[in-house]
Amino acid sequence: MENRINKIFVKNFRGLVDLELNKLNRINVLVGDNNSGKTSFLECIKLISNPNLNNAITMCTTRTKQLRAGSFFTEFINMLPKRDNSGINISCIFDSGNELKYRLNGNVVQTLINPIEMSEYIKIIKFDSMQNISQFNGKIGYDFYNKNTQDIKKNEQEIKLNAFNAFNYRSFKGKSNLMKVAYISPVDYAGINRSFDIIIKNEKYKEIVIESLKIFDPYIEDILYMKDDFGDPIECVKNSKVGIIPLSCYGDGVKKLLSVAGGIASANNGILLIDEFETAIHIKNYDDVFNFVDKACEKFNVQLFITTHSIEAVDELLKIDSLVENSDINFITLRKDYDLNKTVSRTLSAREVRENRKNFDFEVRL
Amino acid sequence: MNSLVLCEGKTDAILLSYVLINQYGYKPFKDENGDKKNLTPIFNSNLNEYAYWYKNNNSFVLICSVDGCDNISEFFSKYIIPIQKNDYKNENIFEKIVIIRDKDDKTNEEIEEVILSKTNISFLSNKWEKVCIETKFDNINSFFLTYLLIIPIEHSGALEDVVLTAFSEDDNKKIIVEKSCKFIDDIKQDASTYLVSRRLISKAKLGVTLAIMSPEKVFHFIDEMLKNIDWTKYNTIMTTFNVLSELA
Repeated sequence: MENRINKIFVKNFRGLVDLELNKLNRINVLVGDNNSGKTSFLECIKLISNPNLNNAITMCTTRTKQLRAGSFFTEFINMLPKRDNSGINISCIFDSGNELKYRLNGNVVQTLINPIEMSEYIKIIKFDSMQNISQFNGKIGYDFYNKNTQDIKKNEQEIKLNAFNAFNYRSFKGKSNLMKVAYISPVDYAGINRSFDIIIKNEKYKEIVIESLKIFDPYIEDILYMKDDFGDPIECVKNSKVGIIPLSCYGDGVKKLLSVAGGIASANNGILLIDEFETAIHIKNYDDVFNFVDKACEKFNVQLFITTHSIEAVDELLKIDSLVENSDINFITLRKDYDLNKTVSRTLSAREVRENRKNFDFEVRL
Repeated sequence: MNSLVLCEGKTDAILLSYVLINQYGYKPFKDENGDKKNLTPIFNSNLNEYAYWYKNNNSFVLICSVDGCDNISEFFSKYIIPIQKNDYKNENIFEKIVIIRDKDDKTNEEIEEVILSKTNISFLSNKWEKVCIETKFDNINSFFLTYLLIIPIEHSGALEDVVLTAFSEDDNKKIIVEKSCKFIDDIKQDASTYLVSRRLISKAKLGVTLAIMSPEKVFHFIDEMLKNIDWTKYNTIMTTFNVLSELA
């Protein structure tokens, strides 16, 4: 797979420090203690896939969906490393030999902003005095080396970001998708409109997905759009026992599988990131769901990065012989080592993990 | 701190645990919180297994028997090296590893060489050795201490000889030991079908001695009989396993 990430080095990003991962596989299972950097790792792939300010601000706010958060600006500043001003530096090498180097650096300064400028950013509020505010002055950019053409594409953008202009961050220019990446957070299954759309539009894939949905309900026959009382389309499930019912009425397992299935299709020939993979799936269904995900990722040529806290999920993955025998899956343990002041990692093949689990109840997650 | 004591048989393990408990204040440790779970090797079901944790303050000792000296190196390579290689934090590995095995008819050097060739880890007799191993965490090196205790310390033989020597400290028992040994030496030609090795001859000598000392328990397993002896009174046992005092 040309677009598969083979190596990645994260100098700084959120809590990740000097993390180096080599020989990444088709399926990569990230495990580790709470706060070891698993989610940060997924986010850093999402971040570099589209190296512009718009995406950086989108990424810095992904964790705030369920929390009372500060401004976009506050989230942005807190995404940067605290220990120095070196900023975010991430580089990765693809199977193709292409190489991407991402950087986002700068520093926060105090600056005066006048009421007219402020009102331009936030039109609904009238300001009447100058204000001293924090502003991030820096640069975001990347170097992309194409091994085939031997070309190096360089891009750099000046940033002046403060609490006022960050509010309108979607207006920042920058469409520079370098990698096709889909990201599913632990709560994303609750809103799966886009996934649903992708599946519905691919009739052949839809049949496969419906077959997999029978893991959760053997009477599911179809997924389709219906119109609600106001004529707007709503996602529905056709059930041979109870008829057509809105997807919102279904259990989380069905929603989760649809979310993942849509993510796989939208990451076609790219990368899928799933945080807390096992969320909303009952332990007895792990094997069927994992088998579906494995086959679907293979079919769509998708490199998969998943995080999990569940040892049962690890054990079920280890039971898929084809994955283990073909060495298609790695288990990567992340650990924040405060003594070494870095994020250390351990990458093991599934065969090693299976053998060690059998021999001494190996705790791969720590 | 976690330490591992790897020995040949269940009898060794029983004696070692006895010394740990009664001489050095350890208590059997049941891993209710799962803290040590990932450091406990699971035995091949064909082996006559024994694996128990003991705890004294912050010192944890795992005693494992592997059903014969021939299994020690294989067991170490298969189960212990992966534990040591998969982490570098002291709480997740064994900081001290002691191998206790019978001398039989070999020299200490011969035994050291066999272990080194089969495990690639250096164990020196009666001496702590600092070993470095490259872990799977970013190739970070981890360190642990190894120790090889070959018994009996003074002469050739096996654990049974150590026990018999211990009994001989008591004048009343010394005569029983001597006569039991002589009896076996006298009969071993006629009983060559059963007493096929030096090792089995030693076991027979101990068996006869114990049968005389505890005739009512003669049909019990020897291990059960050994458990009921106050070994702290026997200098030989305490001196031989003195290395256990260094595990804390």
